[in-house]
Amino acid sequence: MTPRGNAGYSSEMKRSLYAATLCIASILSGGAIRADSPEIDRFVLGNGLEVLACRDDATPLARVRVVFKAGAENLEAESAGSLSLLERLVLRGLSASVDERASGPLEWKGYATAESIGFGAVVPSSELDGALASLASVLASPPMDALEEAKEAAALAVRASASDPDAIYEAAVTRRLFSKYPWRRDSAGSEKSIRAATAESLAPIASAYLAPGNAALIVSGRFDPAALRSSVAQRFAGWKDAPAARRTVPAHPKPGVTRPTWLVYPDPSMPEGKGSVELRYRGPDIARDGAASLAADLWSGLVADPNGRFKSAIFKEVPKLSAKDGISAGYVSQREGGTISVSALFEIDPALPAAERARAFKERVRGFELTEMRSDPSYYSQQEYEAARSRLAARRDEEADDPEGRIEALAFWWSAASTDYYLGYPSAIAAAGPKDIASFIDAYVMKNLEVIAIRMNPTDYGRERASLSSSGFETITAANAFWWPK
Amino acid sequence: MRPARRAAAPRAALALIAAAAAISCATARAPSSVPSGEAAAVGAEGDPASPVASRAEEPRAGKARGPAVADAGPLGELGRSYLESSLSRYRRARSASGADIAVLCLGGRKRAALRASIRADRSASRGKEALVDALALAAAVRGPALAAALRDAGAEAELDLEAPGEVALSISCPIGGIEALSRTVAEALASPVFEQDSFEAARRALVLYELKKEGDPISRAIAVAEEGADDAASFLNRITLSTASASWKASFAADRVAIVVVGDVDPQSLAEGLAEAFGALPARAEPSVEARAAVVVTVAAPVAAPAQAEAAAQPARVAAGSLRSAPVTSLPGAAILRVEFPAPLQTEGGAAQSDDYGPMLVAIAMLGDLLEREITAACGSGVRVVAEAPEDPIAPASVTVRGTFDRLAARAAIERSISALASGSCASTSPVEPLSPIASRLGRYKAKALVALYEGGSSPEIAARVTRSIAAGGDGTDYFRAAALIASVGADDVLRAARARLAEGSSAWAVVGDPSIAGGLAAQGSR
Repeated sequence: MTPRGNAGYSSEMKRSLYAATLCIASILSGGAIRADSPEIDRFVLGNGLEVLACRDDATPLARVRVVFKAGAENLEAESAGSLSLLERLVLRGLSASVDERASGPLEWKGYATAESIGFGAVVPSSELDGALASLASVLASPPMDALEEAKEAAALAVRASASDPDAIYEAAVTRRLFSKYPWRRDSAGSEKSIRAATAESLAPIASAYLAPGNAALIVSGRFDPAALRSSVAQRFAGWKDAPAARRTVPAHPKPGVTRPTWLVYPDPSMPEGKGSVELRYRGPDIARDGAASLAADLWSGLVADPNGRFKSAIFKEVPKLSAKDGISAGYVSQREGGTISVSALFEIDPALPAAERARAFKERVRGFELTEMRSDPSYYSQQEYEAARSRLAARRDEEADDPEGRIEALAFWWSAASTDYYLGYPSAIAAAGPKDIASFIDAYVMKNLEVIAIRMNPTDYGRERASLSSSGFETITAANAFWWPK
Repeated sequence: MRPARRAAAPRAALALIAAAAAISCATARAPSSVPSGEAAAVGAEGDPASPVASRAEEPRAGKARGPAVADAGPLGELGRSYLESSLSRYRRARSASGADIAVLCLGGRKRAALRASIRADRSASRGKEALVDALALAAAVRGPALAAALRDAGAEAELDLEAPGEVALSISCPIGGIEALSRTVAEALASPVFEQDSFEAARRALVLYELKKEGDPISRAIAVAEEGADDAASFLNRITLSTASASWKASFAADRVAIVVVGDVDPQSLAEGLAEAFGALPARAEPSVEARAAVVVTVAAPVAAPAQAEAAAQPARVAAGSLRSAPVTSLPGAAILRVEFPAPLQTEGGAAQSDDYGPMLVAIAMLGDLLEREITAACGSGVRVVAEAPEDPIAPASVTVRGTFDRLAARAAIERSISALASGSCASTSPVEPLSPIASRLGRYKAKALVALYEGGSSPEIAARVTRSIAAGGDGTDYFRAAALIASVGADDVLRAARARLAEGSSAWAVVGDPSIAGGLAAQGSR
């Protein structure tokens, strides 16, 4: 989640093709997960606002973030992008707000994703109360006066995404995998829906979703716990909730596609001679199948080992993959739009057409390794399960030890699931095992259908266009990638 | 799993997978020169009476270095309380062999960070010695004993080559494993086993990393500005196991080592335990500097003429008004412009602290906003500006402009911003009047400087700040003192630092990018 700040960062979450190859390797073994008891002061105001406070004296700073369980998931095609507009408006209001307890306007950042929207600032601890006062004031009455400016900026961002190779690829795969409600996975919306927004259309969305009963206020860093409780109560208790205005949303169908769907993207950001292939499935949604989501996390920990059986077999059996550490596999936890992905970088070779390589990759991943993983409880040893649990625990502990990591983790898990889910996570992972993995693979891979997508440089694509087309690959372009007509 | 955060900071660590022993390699950058720095004083009140101090010492807040803490406002009170609470949780010791030990307790942290830092010696220049140190250290810690200890402890490790003046092994592990792991690290450093396999694996990882770095425009701009090793990959490939081993034996000594642990630990007992564990490191071996220089010149010889090799053995420094350029193909039609301003410490004749450090932190915060406005006006909104304050007294301040299509306009914008600041103005919040007197927004910018300095706060980051403070000849407490230092800064201090260090002091300008742009700016000559 990359926040949009005063400097205008993009708010979109993007998956990086190479992210996995840049990850720090971790080889861990042994050690069961210990009982987790993070020092979180947790309380709920009468209006439903959940407050999570984590004290950490490592620096003289405090971090404050408010996060809402609201995003593109809560909107219709006609209102897509509305919460991103509200995010821009609130952020503008926060950046202009000057509380007398602060030394001046604070540097707020905001983000809007498919499932959450949030605002945060890092301040000297002596200015925490001023930051809370500004936040409470702006959220109680989101300013609409700069709507036209916000619409212009949002439309510009939508247009920019149509020339961003990563955005085009993501949009194309997402459109197929979430074909019934594709706008619910697109926080930016369409230019048409953005242009149509008015203060009158945004106001009910704001009152329904940017509301205390749909929010968590998270504070971490150096602060006085008693003073914080008092300040939060004073600032936020009068904030009105409107629970009846919030609606529940239907699930995205699974399988996401009606047949295996083969895509190829002539991607100018890919170097010549290199390609990538990805299988992507609709995965478990935390809101609907929390147990499978936990199993999927454990599965991610198991398949992460670059020297483990899964990646070793794929690298050995699929011809001319670039490197073992170019193979990525994992599950992305989401409240409503979980996905599972297995991908690899490969070497372009005229003697081995990319279409055939993609089929070989799919066959090895799904037909052999995941099939075997489901049916053979000893595919991974007990020691490997322990190592995977330790990997997950280490990542969680590292997040908790990093002031920014902790607040991001709390905000993410609160919005995707709940505080209880987050707190109970270590023991839930410790209890998961081979049966859960088998059940997860059966439901979300074997009884599911995938999108298979290749990315390759346009020059390489040009040489293989005919074979890709005859093999049933649909070519992704900026014109057909997005759910909205370009 | 939670989606990973996207790494966006231009100087964020890049990690490389190094399969054998879970050792990965963080961003490299050329070291800045540092004073020879005898053992750091405790609490800035003088060295312990004995040169061998295995008993952990409690530092004192009494003599804060730099300007006196005069700010009685909330920020001053925050700085004072932060310093006091940090010092109460901090202990220092020194091993019998002379290694610096420091431990900071952070309650509630689930993992411990251990940083074993090897300070650059006085012959360090152009990054070559740092590369030899890094390769030798990487090979040494890839030995089977440490690899097994890392696995057993559930630890992660990486080499940090980014910090100025040191190469370091940074380890993160569960709290319970820190003592045993520390002992194994001590043994690996005291008696390194240089094996061909681990040496080759370490070299492959470093070469791959350097190659990736060469292709990254920001890393390239930093290297160009700091005169870093510009043929690092080929240099590494020419180092043999025997060369690395010889260099290690010639130059490695306990007085170049700082061991810092940050985590939820008992700082007193752990500091004493670490002092004992690292007592077996070799004491200083004279004449290490000459032997080391000979090793590096030998390795560098195939690509460097004798005169160049000799020049390479001189301390790195930022030349006054210099401008260097390098073409890269990955930025068609655009360029990155970077300016570095020497660290306050570097021009103080070896003094452990400069009065300009705190003011520079605030000045750079002001410069960033001025420059953002100027660059947007001159080059458009698509051009990104990052103004980085010195993280510690031995780090340079810098300004980086990314993606400019008009090199002259970008340079002029930087110069106008510096000029405005040196004239006593900073950015205002008014849409009508773009500038305000420095004094009118001093509080806001002090807060901003504080946030910029402390925004990280992870245990490995704090351990790195402590080792760098020790490398600078301090007692490791600069990080804790900086908040009070910022609080004490006055408008006159900012003006003085801006004039002396930004407008009139030396600076190094680098431009990398499309040859037409990089060449065009280079043709303008020095500032």
